[in-house]
Amino acid sequence: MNEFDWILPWLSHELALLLHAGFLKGAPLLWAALGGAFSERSGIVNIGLEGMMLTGAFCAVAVSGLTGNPWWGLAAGAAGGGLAGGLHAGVCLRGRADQIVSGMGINLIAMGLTGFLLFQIFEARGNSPEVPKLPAITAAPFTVPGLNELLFPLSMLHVALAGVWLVTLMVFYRTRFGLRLRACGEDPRVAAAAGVRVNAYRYPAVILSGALAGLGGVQLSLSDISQFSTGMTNGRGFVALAILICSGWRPGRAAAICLFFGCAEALAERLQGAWPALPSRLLLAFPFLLALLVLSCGRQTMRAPQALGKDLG
Amino acid sequence: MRSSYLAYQPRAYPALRARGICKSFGAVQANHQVDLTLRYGRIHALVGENGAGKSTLVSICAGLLAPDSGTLEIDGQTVRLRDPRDAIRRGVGLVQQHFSLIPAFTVLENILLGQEIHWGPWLQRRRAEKEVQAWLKSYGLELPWRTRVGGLPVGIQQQVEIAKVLYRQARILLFDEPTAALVSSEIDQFLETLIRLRDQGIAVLLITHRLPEVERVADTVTVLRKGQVVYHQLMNRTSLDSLATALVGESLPEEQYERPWPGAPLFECRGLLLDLPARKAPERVPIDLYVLQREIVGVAGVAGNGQEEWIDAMLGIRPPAGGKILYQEQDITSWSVARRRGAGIAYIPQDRRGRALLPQFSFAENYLLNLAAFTSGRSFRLPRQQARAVAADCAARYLIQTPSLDAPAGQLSGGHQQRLVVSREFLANPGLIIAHDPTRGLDIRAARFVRERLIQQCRQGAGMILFSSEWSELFRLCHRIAVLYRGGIVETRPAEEWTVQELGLAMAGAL
Amino acid sequence: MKRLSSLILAMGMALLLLSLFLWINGYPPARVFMALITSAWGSPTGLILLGTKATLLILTGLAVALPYRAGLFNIGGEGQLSMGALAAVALGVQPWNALGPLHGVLCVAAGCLGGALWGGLAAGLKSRRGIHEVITTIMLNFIAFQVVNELTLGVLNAGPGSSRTAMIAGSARFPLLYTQGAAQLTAGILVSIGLAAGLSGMLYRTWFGFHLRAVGENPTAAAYAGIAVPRIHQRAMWVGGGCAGLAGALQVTGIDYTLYARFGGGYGFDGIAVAFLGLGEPWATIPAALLIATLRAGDRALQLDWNVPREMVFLLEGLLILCIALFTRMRSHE
Repeated sequence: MNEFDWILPWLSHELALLLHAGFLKGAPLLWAALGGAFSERSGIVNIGLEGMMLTGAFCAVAVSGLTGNPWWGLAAGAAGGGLAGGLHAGVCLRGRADQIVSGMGINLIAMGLTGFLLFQIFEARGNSPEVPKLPAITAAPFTVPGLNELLFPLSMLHVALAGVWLVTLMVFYRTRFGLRLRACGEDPRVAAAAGVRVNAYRYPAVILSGALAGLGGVQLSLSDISQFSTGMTNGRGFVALAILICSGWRPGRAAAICLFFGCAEALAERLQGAWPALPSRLLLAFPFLLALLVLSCGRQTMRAPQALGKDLG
Repeated sequence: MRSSYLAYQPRAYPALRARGICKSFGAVQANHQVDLTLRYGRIHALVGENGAGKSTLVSICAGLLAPDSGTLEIDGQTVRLRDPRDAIRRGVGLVQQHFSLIPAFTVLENILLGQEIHWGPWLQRRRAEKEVQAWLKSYGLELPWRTRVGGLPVGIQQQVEIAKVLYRQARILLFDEPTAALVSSEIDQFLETLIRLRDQGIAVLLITHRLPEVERVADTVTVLRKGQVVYHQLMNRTSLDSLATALVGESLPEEQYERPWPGAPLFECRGLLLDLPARKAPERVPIDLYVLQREIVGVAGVAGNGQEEWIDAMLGIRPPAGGKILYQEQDITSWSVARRRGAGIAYIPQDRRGRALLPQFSFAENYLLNLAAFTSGRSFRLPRQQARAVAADCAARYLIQTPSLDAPAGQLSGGHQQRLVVSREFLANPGLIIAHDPTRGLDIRAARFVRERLIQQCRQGAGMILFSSEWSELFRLCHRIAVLYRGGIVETRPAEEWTVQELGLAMAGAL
Repeated sequence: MKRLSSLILAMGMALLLLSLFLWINGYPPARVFMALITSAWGSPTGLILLGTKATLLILTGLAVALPYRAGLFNIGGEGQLSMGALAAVALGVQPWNALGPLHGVLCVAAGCLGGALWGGLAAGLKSRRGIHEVITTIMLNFIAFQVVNELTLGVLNAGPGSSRTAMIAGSARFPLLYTQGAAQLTAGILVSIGLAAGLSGMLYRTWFGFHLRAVGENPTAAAYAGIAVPRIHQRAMWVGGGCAGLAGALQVTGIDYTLYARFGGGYGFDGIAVAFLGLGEPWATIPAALLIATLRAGDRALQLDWNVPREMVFLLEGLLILCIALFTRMRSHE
């Protein structure tokens, strides 16, 4: 009996570390997924989440470097993503362009713009210099044994994420705005007939999706580390899109799937650390393989907002 | 809380009065000098064949269309309705055949959308439930407020639609073919709802072509034919027979067609079970229908009773739920679409732009869609020259007006597009023709032309299944007429043995 | 003609926006563009580089354009190219000199097959699981990238500390068309041009091409006419993937003679711009590729003389795609 006394505390310790790492890894995904939820639930496909994340990551680093204040950087990250979202909204809603093409175009523009401005502002190619980053929270006023290693270290942005997630859930399902927004994504003709001004909901939804994705980028560049590298989002925006589809476009479920993805990645890293013989680079492909796997298993496309991506009347 | 509107019913004026309404769509005059009066506490029936102008009139009354001339008065005030929201503000609510509901939302959400009960930004679900429940109780509407509309039977969905307009304080309710998609038990429930609405003082307009319903609930009836009012009477002073006569009219059909003499057996659906959802077809009734060479079999039925599924099964697009299809003494049930088309099954769809044409492709290239007519041998070269020659030949023989052989097919007018489709389908001398409303949307000359070609092809040996919603066309062209109802055939008789009333009753499932 | 004028309008708009951006950042737009053009077109070495880039860009443009005509948006050119390169280099490093020129042919064929299979994977997921091809091709891009990395730095590696595979055997090398000093132009450019012309002919003069275009134009009408739509989708992705795979094979056997890790190069994404500039016409990928190749070939001069980062090309491509989507009828499917 005594020999196995160490198993339970060891297990809970490892589990806590895993969940913590999973949460940290899944956080940027959740920011982008929440952003995607707003846009797509209003009926506008947004595959430009990747570019919006990248824009947010860059703007945050740029402004933080220029002003020396990471909080301005945070604001700039959200604003930059929001601008990109605004571009997508304008091109799709006003210009009636194809939504998928617009998203791809924004991704390319973001790749080009961030690389270009990286050189302009920092005279660097590839990696920016280190800039002031958001302060981390390493301890709480209260100490709960076991909970500490689960939660800390954290950044303010992570706390904000939890709040934003809750707010998103409430907005979607308990407010007038959310009801009308979802109606725009299900059947804009019915919504219009009921007196809802559809574009008045779609524009803010897409801009917000850009801002949230931008905050996901800030999470990448300014909270765990403190610099920007070209292409640092590395496909996370697309994985977030896949997660959104898997979750049936529901923010509640999306959070769980993001955590799952994060934990899976963290677990894979641990295993790789324990057995170096495993091909490490295939590990980097792991989130994408997982996304394909999860997409193949579900029939979530059936639950898409009915009017998603449909040609705007 | 809203107070009952009974308090402020202006009895001096009728609820709605339309005077001299005229509306044309291009060459087609949908309404000509139509008068209609609706009174509070009365059910008024509007009856007519397909294309008689009923839907147009109702769309005008509900603000969906503007009339070319004529006036509309609501409660004695002349109004010009800009859009449906304007109409609802004045108390006119429209319930159409295709509901404007969001399947993913609950009953309550659908009713409240756009006029939510809220406190600041927050929805107040419990308060809303109580208020709406109380408001609708007087109409006898008890609905499952928290259930998603998508999962509800059609009859309940319709009640949600009615609740929507009542919640917005409509006092004049217009129903466009409300019982078309309902099961008989739901129909009874619906008619009872109508009576309750009337007893609460609502003015009801009921568009239907099902005369038994008119007999059951209507107080007054108006009959439209070819856009004009031909009959108007109180229900207690008329009879079903007079109505039926007024519907069809005494005019003889303009042209007679000499029907070819049928020959050997050609095509058969044996025990065919259509793949319909349960609420559309509660009991699976197998289809047994045969077609002889040179025979034209008509299929009458209200849209939505399985025509699409049956056609898809015959063409091979969607497999049936059971049964066999035989063609030229072979079992083709498992054949692919290409194989069936190659064996000589031609298709003239109702939606030619969506199903039979490539609008951006040239006139000549569209002929290539009749794959069987051009693929002889294993050549992989596209026979462009041959297609042009064929297209030019068809344009001459079928009098198709196109600026050039290279003009996009989508630019042709409806009648000429149909000529393209028909001439293409007849290229390889088909054995079986499946035609669905082939003269829909065509002017008289074009319709006559198409019918003549159809008969001509049958004279040359083809058999035809003609799905049509136009009774006169069925009577003129067909040897036998079958009625499709809820995915099964009610009855098949030689054309001479059908009367219009019986046909109407059969289509309503009441024969 | 209306389409051409909309296209020119879109191109003009994109160039205008880029010029504005350059000017704001202190670069003289006109001189930057002149530097690009003269660098690419002004000297024999420049022309060779231009031709080399164009060879690959035509193919990745075809990889997008062909499926587009069938109604699919294939943005997996990057991954399909990588897998094609991987297949080609795997065979290329084998010491099969005895086969002679057959060795090279096998490598190129393997490249086409690799790309085609990678594209077919996305098509299969679409037809069996209903997942949109945009998502699957993007995921496959990232997966391919890591697979290539893994094998290039692992099994096929040239040696410790090297970031590329071993050099391919001499018999596997694709013939050269022209050399000028150190610069060389592969004969692969003839293959690319020939394929563009060939696919154009296929599209308009064969039954398969007709079926493909019909499915892209109106899949419902095609189905009712007897065309098997899922099968056409599958084949379109094979052709598209095969073109991208061929590009990868040519990169390995005709240009680099090896495969570098972190081999992205962006040719796949450039292919989207090429296809859009060509409005989805296979033969039009040739002039479109020359345009984009000018940007790619000249960017070295840009960096050296003007210090303009090479990401400018991505910016221009994004602007081009947006403007074309706004001003012409180009959608993500026909």
